[in-house]
Amino acid sequence: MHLFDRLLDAKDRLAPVQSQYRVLFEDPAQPDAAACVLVPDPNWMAAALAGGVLPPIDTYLRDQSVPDGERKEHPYAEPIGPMTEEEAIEYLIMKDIPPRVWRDYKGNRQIMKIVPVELIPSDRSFRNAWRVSQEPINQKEAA
Amino acid sequence: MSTAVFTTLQSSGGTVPTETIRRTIPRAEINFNQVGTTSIRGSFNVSSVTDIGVGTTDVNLTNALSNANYVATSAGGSDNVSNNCYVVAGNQAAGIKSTTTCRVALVNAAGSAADTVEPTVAFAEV
Repeated sequence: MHLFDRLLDAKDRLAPVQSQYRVLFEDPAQPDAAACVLVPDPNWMAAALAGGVLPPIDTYLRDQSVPDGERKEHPYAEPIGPMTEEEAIEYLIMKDIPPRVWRDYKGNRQIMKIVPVELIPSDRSFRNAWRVSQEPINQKEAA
Repeated sequence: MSTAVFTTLQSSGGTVPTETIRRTIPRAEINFNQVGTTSIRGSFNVSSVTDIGVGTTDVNLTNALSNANYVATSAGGSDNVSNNCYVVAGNQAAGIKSTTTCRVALVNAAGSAADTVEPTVAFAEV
């Protein structure tokens, strides 16, 4: 079954799951830009936890080198089994964050953190100045 | 449960291939919130959103669209101040619209970037 059809089926039968995590990251290609916050989709998270919907992550990674308009591998790959929420977040990092952030970066500064949602500031007054905190994760804000 | 399988649908005006019907339904949809902590209310075929900054969000798709010439139809919602917000969807030339990601930027009536309560986007292939 095509991935699109599996997503339609999953939308019908799975209840959305709000993740307790967010991924906070800075892009080394844009050192002056504010930190970004990755928010998992509740329907996607439900599909990841249930299994039998999403393709293996390596198909997405190979498809990054496939030009737009050409046939990609991930819609036709066999689905993988259920993941834990933590595994799903790792999958999502590899899928939706550029490899220069999570794989290729060699600097000393910590540019990516997986944090509980409550550590993301809700006051966005200075949103465009957010940076990833270099302090260990604690009960304070992460950005 | 019974399954009906057919390749064309016929009406008094003629026949329409089912593949054509399939292609005209939205390939992805999202309704989210940028105010406070960014969150997703409802969606289809979306894996995540990336909060880039004030009024700016990348929508990441689970099943890539077949090419980047798709239509991103959107509504801006309200920023709780001016109540008039407009959406500027990504464009291919700037590298912020691809088969897997589309940047959505919202501006208020004064032309400034603004977080809004309920921006919505539907993606359809052409």
